[in-house]
Amino acid sequence: MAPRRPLQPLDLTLRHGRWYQRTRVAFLTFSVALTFVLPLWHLHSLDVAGAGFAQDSAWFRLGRAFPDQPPPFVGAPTSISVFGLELVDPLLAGGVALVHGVSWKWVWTVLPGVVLVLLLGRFFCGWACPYLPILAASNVARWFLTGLGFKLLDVPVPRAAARVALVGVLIVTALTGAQVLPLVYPPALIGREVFHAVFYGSLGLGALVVLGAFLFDTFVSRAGFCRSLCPGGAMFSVMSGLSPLRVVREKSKCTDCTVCDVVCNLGQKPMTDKLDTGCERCGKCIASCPTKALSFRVAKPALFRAPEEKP
Amino acid sequence: MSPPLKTIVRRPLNRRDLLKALPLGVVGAGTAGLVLYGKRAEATTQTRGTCRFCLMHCGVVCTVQGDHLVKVEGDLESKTRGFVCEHGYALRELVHSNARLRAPLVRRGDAFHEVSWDDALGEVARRLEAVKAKHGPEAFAIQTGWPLVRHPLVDMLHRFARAFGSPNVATVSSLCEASLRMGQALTVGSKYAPDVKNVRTLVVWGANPPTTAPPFAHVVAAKAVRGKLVVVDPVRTSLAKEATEYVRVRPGTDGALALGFMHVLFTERLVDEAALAKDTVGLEALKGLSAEYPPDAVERLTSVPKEQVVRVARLLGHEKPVGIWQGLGVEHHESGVQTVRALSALETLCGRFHSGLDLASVLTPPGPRFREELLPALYRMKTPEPVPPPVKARALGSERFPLFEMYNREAQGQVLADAILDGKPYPVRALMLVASNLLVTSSAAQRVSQAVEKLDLLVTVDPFFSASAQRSDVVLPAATFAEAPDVDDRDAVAKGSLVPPQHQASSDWKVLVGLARKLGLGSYFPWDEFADARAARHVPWMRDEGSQPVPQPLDETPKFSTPSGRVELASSLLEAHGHPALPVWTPPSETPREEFPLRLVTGPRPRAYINSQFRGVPSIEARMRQIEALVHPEAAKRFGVANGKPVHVVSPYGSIVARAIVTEDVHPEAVVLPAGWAEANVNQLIAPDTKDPISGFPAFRSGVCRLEP
Amino acid sequence: MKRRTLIGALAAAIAFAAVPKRARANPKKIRPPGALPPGKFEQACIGCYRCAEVCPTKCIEFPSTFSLDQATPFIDTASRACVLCMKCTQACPTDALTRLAADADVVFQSVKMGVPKLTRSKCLPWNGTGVCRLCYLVCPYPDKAVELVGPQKAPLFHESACVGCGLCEEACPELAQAIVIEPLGSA
Repeated sequence: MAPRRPLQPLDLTLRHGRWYQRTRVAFLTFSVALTFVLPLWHLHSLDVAGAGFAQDSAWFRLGRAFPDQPPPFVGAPTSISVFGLELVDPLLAGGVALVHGVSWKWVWTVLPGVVLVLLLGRFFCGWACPYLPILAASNVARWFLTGLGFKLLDVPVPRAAARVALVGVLIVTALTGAQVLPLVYPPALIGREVFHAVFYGSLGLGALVVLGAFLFDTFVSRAGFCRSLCPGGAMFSVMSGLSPLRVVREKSKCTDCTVCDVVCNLGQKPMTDKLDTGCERCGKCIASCPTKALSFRVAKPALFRAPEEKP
Repeated sequence: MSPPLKTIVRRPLNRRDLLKALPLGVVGAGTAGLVLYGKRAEATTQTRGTCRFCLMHCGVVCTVQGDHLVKVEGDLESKTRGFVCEHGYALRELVHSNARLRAPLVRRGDAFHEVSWDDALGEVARRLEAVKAKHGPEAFAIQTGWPLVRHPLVDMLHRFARAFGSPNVATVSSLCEASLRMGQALTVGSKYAPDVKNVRTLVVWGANPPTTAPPFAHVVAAKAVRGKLVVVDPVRTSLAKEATEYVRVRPGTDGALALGFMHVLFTERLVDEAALAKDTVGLEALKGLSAEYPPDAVERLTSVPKEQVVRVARLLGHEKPVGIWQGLGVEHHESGVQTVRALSALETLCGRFHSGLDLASVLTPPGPRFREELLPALYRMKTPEPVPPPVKARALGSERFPLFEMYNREAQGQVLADAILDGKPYPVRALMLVASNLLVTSSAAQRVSQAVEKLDLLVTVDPFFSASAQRSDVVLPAATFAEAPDVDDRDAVAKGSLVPPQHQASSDWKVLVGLARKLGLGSYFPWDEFADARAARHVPWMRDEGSQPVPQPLDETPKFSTPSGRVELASSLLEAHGHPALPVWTPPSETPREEFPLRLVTGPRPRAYINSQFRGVPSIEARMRQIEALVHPEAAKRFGVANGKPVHVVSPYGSIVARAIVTEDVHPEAVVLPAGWAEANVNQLIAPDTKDPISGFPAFRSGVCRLEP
Repeated sequence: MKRRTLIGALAAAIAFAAVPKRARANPKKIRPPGALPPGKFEQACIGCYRCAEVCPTKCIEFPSTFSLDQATPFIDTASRACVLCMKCTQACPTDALTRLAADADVVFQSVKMGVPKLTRSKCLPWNGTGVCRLCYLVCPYPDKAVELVGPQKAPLFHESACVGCGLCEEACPELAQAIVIEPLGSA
């Protein structure tokens, strides 16, 4: 397998599907902003400004109070309550189910997330994950370093590694009986670290995991963490087998320019129809295709397709 | 058209690519900002001062970080020797509460608008001038609240009101402590302390020092071990459980019980009549009155077993001297002042003032000042020059309760609603509430609520957006005592405060000076700092109203500061004002009846709160989340009330919901409710116009009610 | 091959779900009110920090160290205590904190965060160096969890009636620091 050529800025030029991309970026921005804004908001939204209590963080001393009413948003994208509706990451909920058990409340909190993933596949990774800005930063770092003449590795770590990681984390969880996922799962980590920074004015050591992922993505394998190590990505990929949404190619229009293969963070290859459950529905391949050869279609879910149809 | 592929594939980096690094910038800068800003350390300082939440005035040491109070501790070097209670401890929560007002508010239509201090004070001044022009200066009144009790600022409020032309400053004395002060002064000439340390027997009557005076809880309780401790209360308080004798009296019958004790003392010759005869007035008459209260009758009236009446009376007679610590439980009845007088008389009979104790340590010594004025102890009888001109109008309540005006030199706040609604004796159209939540704490809650609607101007000066502030036209954010110049327990005003003022809060003094200057009264308030005003030379004033009786010229220095110079068991002043001269007991005008079979006692302070303060302070709310009604198991059974469940307390005037606490500790005929909840205002359960005819105090503790589950 | 991986993963997960487990991560820490018993709590908590966000006194903290309990909340009662408002229990998505009403009786019956330990030699009334009743005065359940005994009015704690909120530990004067709320041991 020939290595992919490095990603270049102009590969990402928006050619079609502007509204899809704008919606996605807006949603992503909202999601990331929630991670940052909610801790700051909650710091000031309660009965007491907390100034007399918390000496850990100067953030306690800022700003004007919000009225004291039940906050409409509590949490972060991995576990959020939106106007009373509970949304919990199926992976984290799965960890709870594994070691603690399942209750009706568990079912209700996990259901919206599961339904969304079953319908839209691994959309969380492309639409809401707070790691995405860091991944984007990693890509930018790669451009600059390549531009400066460095030869950066892009090791094609097999995607199965992510499933191994997932199973490994679950095994450790089961063996220790403690929740290990929140310690290594970047979206949960990032939320907690930002919260930590706001509430206590310091970062927890979980930030090292995020930093490690950034370095891995930058120097070892482009988006390698998301593609091949993130247990959440693996989990969503597994569930994505039931998603009916799929990127399809009109062979007559395709010029084999490889742009779609290059822009894909997750190593999908739309140019050769080698798309599997790892597609995060970000639509960047569709947007960057110079000839409008790619588009989303409702198709038979991957799990039900005959083996010969599979890549 | 799409660009050719060649240019897509290879292109050198350009400046636009920098834009694409934006996510890194945003996330990196964001996280770094969160951490770096959060890490910003501020200098920590320690400030010393006085906690003024209650009258104990404990010394406190505050740890202040930047302008934030992070810890309150007791000051070991102060008079209270390191004591601090949960209220002082909760100061930081109060000061930094998110519910604090942040800027002056002016109501325009249905909405409050934040305005600058200058605009807010200008608005108040403009509207006050309008009221003055239309209704005269006396149509303006000030009501202060608990935080200004025994606070030197009241002096300045009087000065301000009189400079404006109004005599109407009403304080908490309208319903707290003044009955005690009057009753004791009418009897022995001045207020006096129970002298806990020196008396042999301490009677705690209608009070609960562990709740209201926590630093002295152990001193009072120690009386049960080293001496005798008698507790008279309808509720078996924590102190009552330690007492030598606990007398469970029916609410509102304290006067009868005191007279019953006197009866036993007289009949068993436990009174040193010969020694008392030359120092007292009306001893024989009192003896005659007490003869109407034999133990049988007392048992019937007060529900205290006659054996106990005799036993306690003998204890008082033998274990002299006796000091009585009286609380509001005695004052909040129609016969409040007379009951206080009865207790003073009882103390006198038990040798309080004739047992060799140093009278000077107990009473305010009579002296040259007494020859000029009847009331030697009122601090506000002096003010710095220039003295505001005399005011023509008489203070509110001076017609109906002349003795109150004479003894307190201020308006009786209980008649404010009458003046506003009925225009009697003259209309009041502008009201300023300083640290007062009048709508929650005043008696006749419904009438006060109506009255507020009729005002041309209602100004509230308060740190919080209280129930009263929400009905005001202008709300001025006040500093708490911690942010205002510190006032110690000897009324010395410091320059500094414990914590810098929060938000736009301003100390009451600054508000007063600002307003005075806007009204063109700046010549009376030339000082910027309260400490300067206190340090200025003071001259006597407020002696020009002709309300004071002329004291008899006496040949020798009298022992007591009464008109006769003796203990007035029969008071000439009361007689002159048409009240019974002797400390007679009159039963409460409302008696429990079929429809409302229980006696309703409202207002005893729970330990968690002080009146309407501390609502919304988390660590205090942990102690008491809702209003709790004490109900005896018998009553609970009769009305189907369950412990811990909601109960409707229904009186002829209103109804509230409380959490029922079923306990044997309460008198079987009584329901006891604390006050201060805006959402469950107990004052609307009490008859609006049953008042003590001498002091005008509302009869908060002799209502009637029934319970509904 | 992919399918085999998938099935293998699921099979492993199911197998582990079926195995009876015991939480090894069981650090002795004071957990927020309504928390499941030690061991169970660490299994159910996903570290979403919603409890800490809604806490009005900001007493709920997360450790900064990298350890197995890094993502579980705890309360350091010495620096900040719980005021038993129960907002955290209402925010918890996984019922690691059992949802409770902020009612005095409910809290008294259902909450057990730790047990108070008093060192009498440090306590001002007990060792006779001062007048202090702050623990009694700040206690949400005075006379039940702590009562004052003797002429010195010294505090006596009743562990069985104490919810372990830590208001007393936080309030105990700096020069005494006689009270420590000890976390619950393994269930």
